[in-house]
Amino acid sequence: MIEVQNVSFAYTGQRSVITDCNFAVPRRSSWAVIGPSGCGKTTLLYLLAGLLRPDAGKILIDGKTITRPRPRTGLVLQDHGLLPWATLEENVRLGWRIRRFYGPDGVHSPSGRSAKEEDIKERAIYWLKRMEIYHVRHSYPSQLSRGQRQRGALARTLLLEPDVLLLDEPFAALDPMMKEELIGALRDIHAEMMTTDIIVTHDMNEAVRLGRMILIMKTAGKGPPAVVENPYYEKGGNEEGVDILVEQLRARMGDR
Amino acid sequence: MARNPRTSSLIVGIVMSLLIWQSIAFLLHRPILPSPVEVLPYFFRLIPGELGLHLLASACRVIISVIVAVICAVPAGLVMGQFRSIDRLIYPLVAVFYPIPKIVFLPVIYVIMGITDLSKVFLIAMILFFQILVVVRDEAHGLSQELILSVKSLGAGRRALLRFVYLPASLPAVITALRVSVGTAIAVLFIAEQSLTTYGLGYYIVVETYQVLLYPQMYAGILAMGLMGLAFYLALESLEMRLNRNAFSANNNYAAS
Repeated sequence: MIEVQNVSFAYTGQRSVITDCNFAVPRRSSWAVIGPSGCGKTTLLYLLAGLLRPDAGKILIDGKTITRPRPRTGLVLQDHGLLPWATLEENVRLGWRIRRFYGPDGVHSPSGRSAKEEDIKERAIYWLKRMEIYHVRHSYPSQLSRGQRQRGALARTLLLEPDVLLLDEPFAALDPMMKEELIGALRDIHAEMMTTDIIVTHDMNEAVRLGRMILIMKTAGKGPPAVVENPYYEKGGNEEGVDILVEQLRARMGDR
Repeated sequence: MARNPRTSSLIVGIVMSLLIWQSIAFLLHRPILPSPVEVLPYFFRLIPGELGLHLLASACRVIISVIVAVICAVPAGLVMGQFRSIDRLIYPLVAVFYPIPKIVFLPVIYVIMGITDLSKVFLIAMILFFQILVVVRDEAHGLSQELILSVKSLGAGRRALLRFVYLPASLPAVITALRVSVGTAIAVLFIAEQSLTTYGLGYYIVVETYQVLLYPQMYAGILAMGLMGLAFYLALESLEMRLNRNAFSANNNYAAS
């Protein structure tokens, strides 16, 4: 359960990005976040990930206030954030190496459970194969396509077995085929790993395909975010009538 | 083992230099420029003895300076690259000191620290320090915020960021900065060693041979200094190439563990 309570945030010396934001995401749910550019969608993800701290209010995950990155929250940013000097396989195992670096301290990595090296190797191979990037595992990020880098970043995060998955524009700049595949893959992974997903996107159709609930953020000062239930989620978001919902979402976003 | 093109071009370069030297010596035909045929026997005779000690003294000063400079400059550069507020405070100072030829501080350093090995090492380390400081700062600065945040979200705190992001990001640049500036460092060492010391190639070349007109021995000293510079340069270059190969080739085993 993710609870956002009266959260406000402004970057130092700038106007407030998020003002008095409230919502609660039940465990194992999947939410899409949409809104006009500059409305603080990415900032909201940073707050949820514990990379930024709210100026007011608090964010709780499973009842605990988030003050720093939580070991079981996975975050994949638009920029992928792969190390340019390491191969894809090394990148995929980076999170694991960081965990081993700290040991199971409960702060940087989950306490009490420490997987064996061989298991991690196997799991890394599993995710590389599942994301269809096994054949390019020895390549460097600069040698890969955007889609491959994106799936590399996903594999790196999924290897750590997160229970909360935060994704920022996971399909930006992907070609339509690749996008279809990845949307399907994410839906499958969500069902299998029973993660709580929060996916930021600017594309209404993506939001309808991926969010059981859709959080509509508005430009700062134009009111609190609204939550809309998405009846088409279970059917894969491909039903008749989706267009109407998309139109409704557009209207509620209030920027056109 | 097949000889690589770098080795062969190095050999060609050395042979050509010797040939040019030989022909100029032949044309000039004066004692101030003895031919390599005359100098090389001196070089090989002196290197296991006296000249070897001078070479060793100079090389030690350079190596210690490199170590001191790296130990001081890398952390300072990382701090400046990571903390904007500290950077804003210190960078103007660095910008002023960076382009000043550090050799002008030689008298000041001598007065304050005395004419010791310490002062020589300090001077050379200072030259290297600024070169390394600036590149490490720029590398740390240049890392995208998204990269840092992504790695943080994987659980990395400050220590892990240093180990997995900042150090590997700046290491190749440190080696490049050293390779580019080690020549200047040796040139400055040559000047610093000319006065009031007993060991060092600068002393050997200027005081023990040049001032007493022992020209062939002086050239043996110059040869030793040249070779020392070349050795440092090549060692750093091969280190750099190894690091870069890791960064750009598709087949490697870097950090496979």
